[in-house]
Amino acid sequence: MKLTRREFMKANAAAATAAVAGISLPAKTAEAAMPNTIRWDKGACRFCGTGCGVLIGTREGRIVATQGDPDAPVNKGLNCIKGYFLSKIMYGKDRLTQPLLRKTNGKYDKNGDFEPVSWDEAFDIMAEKWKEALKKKGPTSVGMFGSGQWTIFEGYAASKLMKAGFRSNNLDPNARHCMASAVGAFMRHFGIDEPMGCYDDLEHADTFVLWGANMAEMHPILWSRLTNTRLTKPGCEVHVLSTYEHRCFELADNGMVFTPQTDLAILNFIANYIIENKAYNEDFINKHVNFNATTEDIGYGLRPEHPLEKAAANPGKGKFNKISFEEYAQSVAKYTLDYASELSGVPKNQLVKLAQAYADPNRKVASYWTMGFNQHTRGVWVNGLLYNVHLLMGKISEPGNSPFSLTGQPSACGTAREVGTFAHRLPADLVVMKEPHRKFAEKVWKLPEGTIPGKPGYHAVLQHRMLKDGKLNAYWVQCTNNMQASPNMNEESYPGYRNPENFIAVSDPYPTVTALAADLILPTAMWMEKEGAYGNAERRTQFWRQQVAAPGEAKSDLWQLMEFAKRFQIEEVWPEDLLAKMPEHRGKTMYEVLYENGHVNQFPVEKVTDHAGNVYDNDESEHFGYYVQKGLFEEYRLFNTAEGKPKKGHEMAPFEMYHRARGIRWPVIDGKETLWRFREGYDPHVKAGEGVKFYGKPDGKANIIFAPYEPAAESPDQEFDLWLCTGRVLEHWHSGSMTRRVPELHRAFPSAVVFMHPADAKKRGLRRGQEVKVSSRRGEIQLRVETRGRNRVPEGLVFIPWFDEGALVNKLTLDATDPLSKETDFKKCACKIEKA
Amino acid sequence: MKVNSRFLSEDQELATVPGALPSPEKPFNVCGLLAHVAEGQMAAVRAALDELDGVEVHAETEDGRLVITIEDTEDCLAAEMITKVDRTPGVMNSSLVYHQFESQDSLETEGVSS
Repeated sequence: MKLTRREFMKANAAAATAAVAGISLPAKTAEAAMPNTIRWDKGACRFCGTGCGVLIGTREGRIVATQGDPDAPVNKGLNCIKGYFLSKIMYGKDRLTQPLLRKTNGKYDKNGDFEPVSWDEAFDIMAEKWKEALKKKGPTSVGMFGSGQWTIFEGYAASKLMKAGFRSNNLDPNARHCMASAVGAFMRHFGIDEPMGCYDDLEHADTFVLWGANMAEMHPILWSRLTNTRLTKPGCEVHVLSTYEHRCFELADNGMVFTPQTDLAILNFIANYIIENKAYNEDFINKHVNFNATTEDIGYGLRPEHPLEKAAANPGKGKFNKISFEEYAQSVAKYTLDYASELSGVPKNQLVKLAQAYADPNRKVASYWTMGFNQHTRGVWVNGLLYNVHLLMGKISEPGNSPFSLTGQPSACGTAREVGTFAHRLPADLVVMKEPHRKFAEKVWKLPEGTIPGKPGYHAVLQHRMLKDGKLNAYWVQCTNNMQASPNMNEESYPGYRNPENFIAVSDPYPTVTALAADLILPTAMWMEKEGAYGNAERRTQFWRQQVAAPGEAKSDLWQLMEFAKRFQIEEVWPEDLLAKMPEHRGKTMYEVLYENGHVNQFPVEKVTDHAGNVYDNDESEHFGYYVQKGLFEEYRLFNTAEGKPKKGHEMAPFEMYHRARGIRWPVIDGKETLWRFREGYDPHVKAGEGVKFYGKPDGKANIIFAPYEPAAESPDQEFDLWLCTGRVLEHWHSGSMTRRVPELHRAFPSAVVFMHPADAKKRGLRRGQEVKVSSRRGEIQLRVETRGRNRVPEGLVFIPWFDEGALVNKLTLDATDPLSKETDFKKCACKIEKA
Repeated sequence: MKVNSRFLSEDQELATVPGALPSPEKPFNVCGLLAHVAEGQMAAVRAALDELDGVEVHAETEDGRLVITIEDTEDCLAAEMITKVDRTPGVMNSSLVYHQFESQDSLETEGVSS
């Protein structure tokens, strides 16, 4: 039988879809879908933190097809609409293929235009600028901004390059904008990062509560699992809280729109309700919980001279002190039903219904949150207040009872958090402030004691302030569009990049807003153009093989990091007294000291194959002459296995296992993954008879930490009379640098709009579709009004997505951060809207 | 092509940056979609889908799921049609399973043996 390619494609699509549904097709169609010329291999999705498994279809060196991986436990063969972009994101028509440097008359000029240059010329000028900065002002004048979209190998190599090589802790990932508040709370409450539960809770829970997460649009596969449970499990309930109505409200049994910032009060009310009704799990809290109260009135993470910082009693203080249960009960007693309802605007009966769900000992409750909690000037507090509720009930660390922090990037966990790319962190939850942690890292890395500086570096928002102030002068951005993503672009980010004292290099596959604001653009190999690994929100580490070659001269971030290290003699970056401790490093390049150290270069290049015998390239290994990814991963694993490790609980499986598996959830002990942590029977770190043990803390107990309601940094007033909330839409992922290059998606949602209540529009004489000017104290943008559609905002609040580089909403946002996590509150500032 | 050009000099407005890949061939898309249909709505949903150009139902499961393929047509790209199918009254939830794209030129000419 002869088929045209079109019929053949359709038959393939039908057969794959039918297989996921568990049915077979009529014979004719099924036959057509027999062997074909597409090579299929497993991979992980490039987009959100869900971490769906996808099968990658390659023919003649191009990815031509993708399908949900039926063997992937996360998505069981399904994909969301974003799966449609996957095979296209590498083929946008303005894909960068060679380095570009700003030049005038053949020489680098910060005010020149971009001209193509060789990699040699690019790294020459870049190294010159780095060396100049190091010489003038020392290691604190160089820095790097990385990504939760880096592969694990890339994040690890970068952490080592900056913290040990350049001896600068000025390394921070875009996960600072995304997950830092969640991390802060994990560390304060449990002493170890990342959720105790896993996605299996989506089938085990009786009640689901969404706190500031639009799962229907942002995590559609998890949402479809949740929907399935809601529709098939008798008595299952869904509660949704947000500052505006979104798609998830369609399924909600109890949908609540609250006044911004009052989630703090609602959570304290729930704790109060549990205590007043004596519903708390007394045995659990006696055995496994310490009660504490946090320092209050901590400011808003703004520049120190800002009036709000001057007015704060304890700016930036995170200290908390032990209190008794009775004192804790007194602290939350103020948060009565009346008070919480009045403050939040949520009707009393709905608040009670929500509190009852948590307080009922016979209901398993899973709570989910994303940016609504994390991008919050009290983000660490609000994450913590939810843990308080779960801990009071003992509803934690078991199937269905699960406070679960979702993530927005494919490797916010695996890369940004686990390998230590934050300004204060080292791999495996170690921190630069603790001397034993630094010493252990130096031992693993075979470096002299005192290599790693003990002071945390500049975090994301501070990096832009320091660029503007001329203290950070040589700066490298990889795998993220931070000019578009960072707050207060007009007053901080853009002046920082264009400060004549600074040299900015940006590595990206596309000419993003960030790249075009830089001085040097480096073309990057992306996703399946390199061997990679991501870690998703449920601690699942997933590997893929390199499927295709990168276009032109584009190189992976990993290649760039390691190759750049060759440009420095170790004497140029380390002082004499440090070198004197390990004279064997004299005369070596930084590359040799960091990567040819007997660990990273210990595995020879191997032929990479899959179970079917297909052979795959590995461009980095080919170039450097050893199996780079394996060497980096196995060295990273020493942080979990080497003698004298300061912390347990982050154990990973050997490298090879991941190439065979559909992801494995850490801790991996004796080759077995862990689904629920801290509970006997599920977590091998908890011994028989211990029941529950929060082993991240020295005494094995988790912390309940009281924190009060405190107002937002900026609220609407007479002049700027509306709340401005920013966020995402289904069609575009984050800044749109990939998804806006898929023509049909661009067509589906071409430009950002401002979602507005019809009454607010009417009051201002505005019609749907009309062009308006939105302004804040920091800037203005123009876009069109939308009064209908998927997001229904309440009166007094507007919502603008941030994907559109033609309407940069971060010209309006305030760079107020959580003083503890340093994560920006992109959800709350004040704006006004007028006719354009 | 539309790159953000506010940081380029005036005469480079809307220009492609040097070294960018040339425009790819116009692709043709085919998708496989699995849609969950609400109880009692199957007939209505199937009738509604029959009306849509480029949409074909291949099978129906006992628990109310439809195996659907969607291809590009003159008027509607597959990506947009996915949204239309998802919004069809009676469709509770839909998930993309398969996506393939090929250059349009190769579609009718190239024979594939099964």
